[in-house]
Amino acid sequence: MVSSEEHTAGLKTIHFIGDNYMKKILCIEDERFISELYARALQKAGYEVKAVEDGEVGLHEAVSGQYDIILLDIMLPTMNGVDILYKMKDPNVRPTMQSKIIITTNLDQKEDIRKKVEQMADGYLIKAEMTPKELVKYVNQVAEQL
Amino acid sequence: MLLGNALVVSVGYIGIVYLKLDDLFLYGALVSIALSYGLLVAQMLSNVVSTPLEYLSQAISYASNDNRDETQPNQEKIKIARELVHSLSMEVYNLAASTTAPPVSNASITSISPDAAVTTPLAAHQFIDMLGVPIIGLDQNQQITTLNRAACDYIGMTSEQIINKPVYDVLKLSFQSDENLDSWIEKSKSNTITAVRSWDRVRHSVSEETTKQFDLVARFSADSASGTETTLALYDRTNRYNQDDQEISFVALAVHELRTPLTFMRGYIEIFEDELGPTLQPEMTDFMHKMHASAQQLASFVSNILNVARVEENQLALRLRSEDWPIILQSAVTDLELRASVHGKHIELVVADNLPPIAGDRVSLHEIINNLVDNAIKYSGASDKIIISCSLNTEGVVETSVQDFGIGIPESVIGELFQKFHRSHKSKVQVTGTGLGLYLCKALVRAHGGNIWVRSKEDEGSIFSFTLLPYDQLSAEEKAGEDGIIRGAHGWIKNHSLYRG
Repeated sequence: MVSSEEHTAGLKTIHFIGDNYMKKILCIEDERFISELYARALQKAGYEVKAVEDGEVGLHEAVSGQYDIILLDIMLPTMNGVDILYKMKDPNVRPTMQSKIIITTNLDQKEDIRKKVEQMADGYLIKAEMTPKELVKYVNQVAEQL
Repeated sequence: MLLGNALVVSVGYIGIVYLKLDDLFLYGALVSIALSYGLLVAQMLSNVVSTPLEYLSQAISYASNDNRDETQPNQEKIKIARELVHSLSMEVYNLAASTTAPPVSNASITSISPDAAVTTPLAAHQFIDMLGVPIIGLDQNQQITTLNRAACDYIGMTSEQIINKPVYDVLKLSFQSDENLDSWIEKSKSNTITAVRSWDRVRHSVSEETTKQFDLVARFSADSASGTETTLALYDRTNRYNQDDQEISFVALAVHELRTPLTFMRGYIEIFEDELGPTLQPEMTDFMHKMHASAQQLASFVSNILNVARVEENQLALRLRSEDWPIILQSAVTDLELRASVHGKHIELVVADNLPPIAGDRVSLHEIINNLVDNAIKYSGASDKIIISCSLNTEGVVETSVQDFGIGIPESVIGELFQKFHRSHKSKVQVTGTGLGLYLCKALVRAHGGNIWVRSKEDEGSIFSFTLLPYDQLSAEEKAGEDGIIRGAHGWIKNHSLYRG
């Protein structure tokens, strides 16, 4: 397996090229330590991962790229995760978007907001209550639905 | 009053002095003093009378119109004002009701709808009906006997659909405080003739999607001539409280900041354990386990802070579903084994094999066990055994106990054990802790419809027990929701077939 890394402002990409099709994951997460931990664990499990630290850049990447799964933080610079989620679910933004969206946050949402977000997304995780290995297990379950 | 007395005394002395002077000068001086005094007294009286009226007017305007341009009244003063409005309205209504219809008969049940207002000769009904504040009257069985037009509009039903219905069938209420409307009425019935009580941030679940929030003032009158025993006034605050709810609280921000480094720690510890574990010497492995257990403990503490804040803000909402309790229990124990073992403790799990599925919120059940076992670890002293046992009790509910053989609890403090921040003098000295865990356990167990209690003997240990309801005991109506059964921490979101007070 060959890997390469590239860095741009607010954008870190890790490409893995293997023999078989690897599912692509976009991780929109402004805490670099966390995105590194997640990318490391997911890559070991055979996924291709791109990490983005900025909200608007993340939205652009999500709607312009072909991602199977998107891990989406809530508290992000320039645009928060709830707004990004609404945009991604808006058929006018990208009618054919089929990506599964998993909210990964440490923010305690009020019950009604959380409920709406849970209904719109395909998964909802509290990062502090989940280790990277547990995240991989969860992502595997979501990936099975693709 | 002091100023008034001083003026009277001054005028007296001045009069005595001036009597000896020229009469004209004397009368002129007295008239000017009397005028000044009169003006001063008039202004004082005006203030005394007008200030409460100003609060009343401000309160009515703000509460009834939800007008954002209206200056928001001072919260402390508005509390007084809204109770005055309510009392005044009720006095007028009771006067009207007692002179128009005989009490305690079906014929006396009155709807203060526009139609009813036309049929009654008294302006009092019209006065109540014109009030923008929803007002509802209840009889001894807490069935709705009367309500005004604002109440019909607020509930979104006609008076015909509401009259004679139990109030909890019409309003799905949840309260922020331990004492809810039902328990307050029961208490008032047993020990008083009249009483007034108010609650802030009461929630009414209109539907799965919509919740209204209001402040509630209730007036209980045991010998009301109208047959209406309790009257309620609802001051809608939905917009304001929803706005508050959407803002990120200080606690939520603090928890977010605590959780972020916690996420790193747990992630890196996992990598070290997986990738370095096999190469480590036993002492280093032990350190690693202690680090792991400490991170878990910190995560639990952060969850506790968050949950206590939710309980306090009436924001805790559990989703009860049919769950296999032994599986949840085993999973919780597996999570806790590392923490127990680094403290030299062993958890023994004894589960009866005839347990029915329970109605539970998985995350909250983990938190209950987590807190009880955490306490058992802390307070078990030199003893190394903690026993968790679970069985179906004689009342047909699932009873779970966490037993330690440690320092025990003095009898004098057992009654206060489930209060927030409570820590006994002995435990403060011997064991670290916050006093939040048991408070939270009580709130979570109650939200499940269960009870929690403790038996303990000093130097012999403690047994904390709690009950959970079998899922089959829930009504069919409650099970119908796709999203599970939503429960708050203080009393349930009332569906009265299940309400346990």
